[in-house]
Amino acid sequence: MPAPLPSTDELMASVHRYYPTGIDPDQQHESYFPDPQHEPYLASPEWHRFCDLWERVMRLEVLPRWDEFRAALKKALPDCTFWDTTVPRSDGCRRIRIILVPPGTPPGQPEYTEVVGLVSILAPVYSLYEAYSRRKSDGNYTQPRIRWLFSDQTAPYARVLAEHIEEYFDCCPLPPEVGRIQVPDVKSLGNVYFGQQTLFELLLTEDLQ
Amino acid sequence: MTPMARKQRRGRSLVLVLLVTGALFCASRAEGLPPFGSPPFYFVAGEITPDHFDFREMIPHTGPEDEPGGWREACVYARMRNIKTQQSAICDFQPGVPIVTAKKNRITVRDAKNIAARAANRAARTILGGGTPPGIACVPFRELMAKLMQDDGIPGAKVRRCDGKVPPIYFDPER
Repeated sequence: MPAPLPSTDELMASVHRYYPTGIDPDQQHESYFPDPQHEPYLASPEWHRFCDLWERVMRLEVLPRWDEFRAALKKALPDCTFWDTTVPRSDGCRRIRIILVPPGTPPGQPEYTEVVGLVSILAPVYSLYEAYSRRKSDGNYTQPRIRWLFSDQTAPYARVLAEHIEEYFDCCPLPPEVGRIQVPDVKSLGNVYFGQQTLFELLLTEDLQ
Repeated sequence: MTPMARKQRRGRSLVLVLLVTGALFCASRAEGLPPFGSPPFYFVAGEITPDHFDFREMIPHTGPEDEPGGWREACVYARMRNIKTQQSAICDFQPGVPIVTAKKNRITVRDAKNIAARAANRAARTILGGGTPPGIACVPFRELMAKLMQDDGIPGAKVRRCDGKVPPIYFDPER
């Protein structure tokens, strides 16, 4: 059973706790050789709190059962390859990719289907999506095609992933109607404009790939 | 119509055509857009090199050799200048690359540097050459640079604003 969804006000409060209000990090740098340590965004208490939180996440003090969760998932889905693409400070979530090829498959396969799980570190919410990419003629891969509805091929994996996330982290899926709510006064360091970021992008990620 | 009148009329329409083209040309100049038919790369000063990307290991690659994982990041503060309009701005960007991926085995630092430099130059030419003033070019620049790196052999690459945790390298084509 998923945990109850926090109210929108609670989600907004978590966002404002970790992203500075009213500071656009993309405002032009004044000096010729700007000093990153003296930029208003990077000097704000919210940013320091965000960095501290990430350090605690990487020391497994936040979401402490992450490694256990990965081991259990590996056991439950032995025919898949796993990729933990958590990048500290770049998103508001930890990310796990389930690649539907057996472990030890050589790289360079013609196509890859993945089920991706995002687990927020800022609020007890998560989200899942499907990513598909194909090898191009030059040997590189197409941009992943993102889908929120799972095909017959990926649905069983998505179900196992959702069950594990709910069991280990006591959180609930972020519904699209809540995820779409815009937060007008904050911005992450991602590639969006100030005032246009949504709760989904701030609590999870704006970089779906 | 006499031959004289026809000649006058042709003259008048020629003046009209010149006026319209002139107005269009001035309008495009005023907004900083390149005139029609010019190659976009002509407008961007300088060329960033692989050595501007000092990739640091943020997450080591542990575990089995072929298991995907690991992360490297570099940070660049670059002055972007459109040499036609002489507008310029400083844009910072922090490319991040995985160390081992499932689709492409190991991504060496050398690969990451080369691919990042190529992507940055192409993204700058496309965004600035498309007429975006340098002051507001950073967000679309980073977005395009990330896509170009992913297309160029680094699945999972990210580019975002520098977060102060990686020492910056400064790039200014005029210094």
